[in-house]
Amino acid sequence: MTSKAPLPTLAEAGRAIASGDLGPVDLTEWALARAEALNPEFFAFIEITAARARERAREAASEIAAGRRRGPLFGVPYGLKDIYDAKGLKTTAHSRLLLDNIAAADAATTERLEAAGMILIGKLATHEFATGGPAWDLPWPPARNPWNRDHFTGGSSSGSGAAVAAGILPLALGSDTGGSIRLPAAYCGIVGLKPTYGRVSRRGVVPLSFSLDTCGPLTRTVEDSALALSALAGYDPQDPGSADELVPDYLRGLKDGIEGLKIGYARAFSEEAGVGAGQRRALDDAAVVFKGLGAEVVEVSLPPLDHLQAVARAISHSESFAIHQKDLRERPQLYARVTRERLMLGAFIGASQYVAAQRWRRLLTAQVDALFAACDALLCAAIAGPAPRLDAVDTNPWRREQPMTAVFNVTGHPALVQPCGFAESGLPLSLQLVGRAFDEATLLRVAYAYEDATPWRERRVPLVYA
Amino acid sequence: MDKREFAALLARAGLRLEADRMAVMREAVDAMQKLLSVLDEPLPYGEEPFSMPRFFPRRPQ
Repeated sequence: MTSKAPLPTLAEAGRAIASGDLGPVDLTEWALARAEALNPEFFAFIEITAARARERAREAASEIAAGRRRGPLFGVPYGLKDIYDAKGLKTTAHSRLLLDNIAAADAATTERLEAAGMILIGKLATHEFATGGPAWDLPWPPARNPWNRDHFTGGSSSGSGAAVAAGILPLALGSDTGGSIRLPAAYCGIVGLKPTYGRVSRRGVVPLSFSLDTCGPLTRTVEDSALALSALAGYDPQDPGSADELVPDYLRGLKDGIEGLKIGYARAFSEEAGVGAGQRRALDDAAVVFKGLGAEVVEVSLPPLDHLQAVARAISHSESFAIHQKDLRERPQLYARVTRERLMLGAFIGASQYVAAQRWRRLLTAQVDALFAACDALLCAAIAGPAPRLDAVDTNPWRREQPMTAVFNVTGHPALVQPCGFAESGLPLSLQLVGRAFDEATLLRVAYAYEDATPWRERRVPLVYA
Repeated sequence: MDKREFAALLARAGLRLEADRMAVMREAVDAMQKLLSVLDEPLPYGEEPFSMPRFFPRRPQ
């Protein structure tokens, strides 16, 4: 199926460029060849920006020839979920409504990655406007899971998940309003990081829910996640949600181990959420691994899931309806059916319910935050089990099964999903780690220790890593 | 929510739905409102809404 081997990880690619073993042009051609070969299978890309990528790669090669290397990401390919602006390229949000929407400027995050010398390979599939679900009534098909094409990638950063899992890109940006970075990471067996709300600028990214939207990376390894966050994090006065917090060096201390750290395992939370037996066992096993690494693991209780879910839904539906109401009234036929109906739900939430949700949000956030007085990180499920078949995904306006990811969009804490085993079907299982606000460094350290102690990272998608 | 009430709310919002999706959407709204009803539990007067966007107090670096 493939004409080219999978790309190296972000860290490996950066090192290969630094040592001269690989150049930006070779790496870019490699990524483009793989993207062209695999996109007809997985539909990860909306647009492959080959000409632009080749031009940038040649510029990077000239810089290297002149003795200049900007940093560890210099000359390495990446992709953008197609809600991020890149100057001169279309930002469609996977929607007919934005078919002719050309970005006048880079998103703040695009700007940062370009300044680091990264090479944009293309714009990636998403669920329409980062909501909705897999839809067949749009100009582009839904992305497919590289582990099994008949299965769901998760969403909404579906193309980002597929492209990274398939080894087409070492880094893709996603956005996360209720789990849209972490769910594709979970279903595609990769690492997805939702940073603390305010840590990464959202300027130039199509909004879904102003007070929940968070931008972040999808990568194959935790080290890559740390590398990407180092480039992405930082205060942006032009994003009203951006926080003026010091950005530490995320690579420093990453490999120091977790001896003496305390991890709160929200075991009952998974049970409350109806997590499947195989996924529960994988989480229990992960808790044992953390203990073996010298961490203290204690059971903790999170606030009631129904309250957290109610807050997440009231806020996200209200805010997204506020953004889309004019188009829903005037040209509803341009949306996919599933997007249109899910966005319309916001019309049925009263102002007092929205305010009540924001009052509960404060209370519930304080309750979750209080756990960090005694714990360095929390461990819990992200989803109920492995990726369902694509044709079995609930595309009704009200999704009966809710993931456990939106909880930490409500509270704003940073949360990371990584693989923690495989189901009998061969599809990946996942765990979710949650950190203190603005302490992504400890979160990454815990995730790295787990990744390093387990074999999951080595197991790669058979279809495309053969 | 009965059919008339749902249709009235839909019209008030200025939205239109295909006839064959009315029942599905009405069910969805009912399910959503059932979940949201937990937010009706009274809170003390002093419990203010979340203050966005910078809701975490500055921490010592």
